[in-house]
Amino acid sequence: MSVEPEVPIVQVEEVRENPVLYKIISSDNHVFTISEHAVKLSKTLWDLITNLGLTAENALDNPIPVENVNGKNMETIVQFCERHKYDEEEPEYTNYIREFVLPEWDRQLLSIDNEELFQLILATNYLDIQKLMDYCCRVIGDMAKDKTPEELRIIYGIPTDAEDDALERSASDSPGPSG
Amino acid sequence: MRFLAFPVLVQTLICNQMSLQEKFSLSLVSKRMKMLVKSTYSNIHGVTFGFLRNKIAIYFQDSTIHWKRRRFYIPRNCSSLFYVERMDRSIEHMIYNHNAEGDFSSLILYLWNHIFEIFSKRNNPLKMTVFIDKMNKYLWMPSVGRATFFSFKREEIEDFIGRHSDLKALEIVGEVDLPLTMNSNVFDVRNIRFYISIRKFTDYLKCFRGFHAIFKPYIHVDHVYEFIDEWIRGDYYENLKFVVVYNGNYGFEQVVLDRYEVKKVGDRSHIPDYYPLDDEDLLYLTDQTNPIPSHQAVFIENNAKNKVASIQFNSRVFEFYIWERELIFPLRP
Repeated sequence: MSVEPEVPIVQVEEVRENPVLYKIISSDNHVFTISEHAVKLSKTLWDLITNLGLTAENALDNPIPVENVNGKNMETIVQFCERHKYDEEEPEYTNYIREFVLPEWDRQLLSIDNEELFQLILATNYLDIQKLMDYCCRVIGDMAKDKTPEELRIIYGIPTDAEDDALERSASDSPGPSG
Repeated sequence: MRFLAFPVLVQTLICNQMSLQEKFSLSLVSKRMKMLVKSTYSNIHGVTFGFLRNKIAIYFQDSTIHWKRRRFYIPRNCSSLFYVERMDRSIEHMIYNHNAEGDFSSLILYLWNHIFEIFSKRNNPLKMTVFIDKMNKYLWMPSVGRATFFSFKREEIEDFIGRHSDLKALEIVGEVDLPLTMNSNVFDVRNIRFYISIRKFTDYLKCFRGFHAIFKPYIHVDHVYEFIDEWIRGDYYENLKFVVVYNGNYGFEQVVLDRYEVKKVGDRSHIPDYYPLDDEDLLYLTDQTNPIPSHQAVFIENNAKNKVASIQFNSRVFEFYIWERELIFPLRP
């Protein structure tokens, strides 16, 4: 991958055992290696690995193509998964009282522009990485802090009721497939 | 940010990462956002509107004990909504300006309807409480479930109840200025919670045609004896189910029971572990929806031998629940 990361590359602290490595190919043909503990954070990838029957012996010879995620997002995702692969499961939190603070390392990783964050969330959603999704959503949720509804409308690009109604009317007025 | 371009699941996850204030702000953006926010709430049991001298305060009751620390408020003669949170630090800011839409009263009604719509579930409308400091500061609201008054004139409370036919609970803090008469509609409310200091709680209870009554703050144990004796004689209305009295001064001790013949229950497996109160009654009586355990109770019987009452107490609280006799002592086949 030629793109320079905007945050320091995660250094894996130690090799706790002989790690099994997997190869992933992004939609723009960048190749990444990821450890078994890290890849398990993605339900989609782990299901794929299990279904393909990849093992320690044949994993590196069988790269996994991920056509919905480009190299830039994949790099962020691999960094995140390697960073959090040994995390303990967090207790469930309610949606009323905030019970976790986004760690500084992750906040820095996710300090990207809105369009990049948007694409990263879609990639995270596709790869089904719960923790990264929670963190991304927290970053977007934090944009609402101390904001009025009018400010939120601008930040999130939400149409007014009148605009929604107009859109609905134009959709219902447009000719159907046969028209 | 193209928020609406996210899959609905992602929109919901983002919403779940927001605080109460942020989510509430989002719900005011558009109807579509209101429906999204509505779908993400499950833990708000009730909402209280406090009609105070200088402002209207709005509290959202969840299952934690912290709900009173966060509130929205609208200063009187203002059409803006503010939020204040007092936890580790003070947070206070304006979140909504209604100036373009109308005045103070229309903002209150707008927010009342908005909140009711967000938090009501199918077959489970939101429980709305009003808390009234001065009657002339109150704005008439629809669907009030519980009302709290401070030292009011009797006619004012009776008029309030008359105009809120769906009222399920009444709390009066401080003695009503004139004696309540037997036929007062105050005694028709399903749940009452009275803070009394002059008259005996049994004076109120003898007129009470509702179901559940709580009396605070310091009830003398002699009045509790009087109540039990009168219940055994059959002096109270048939509806009466649950009476709770508090005693902070002297405490209730084991001797409370020495005067009564306690009925022995051999097998308790058929007796509910909790008092049979529904969520709505629990919320109005206790501010929470956690069921109240009844498994420490002992039973006494009335003279008519058709009802039994379970008595359970600790040094501070005395609980008296009335059951049909057959439920506790089933007839042998």
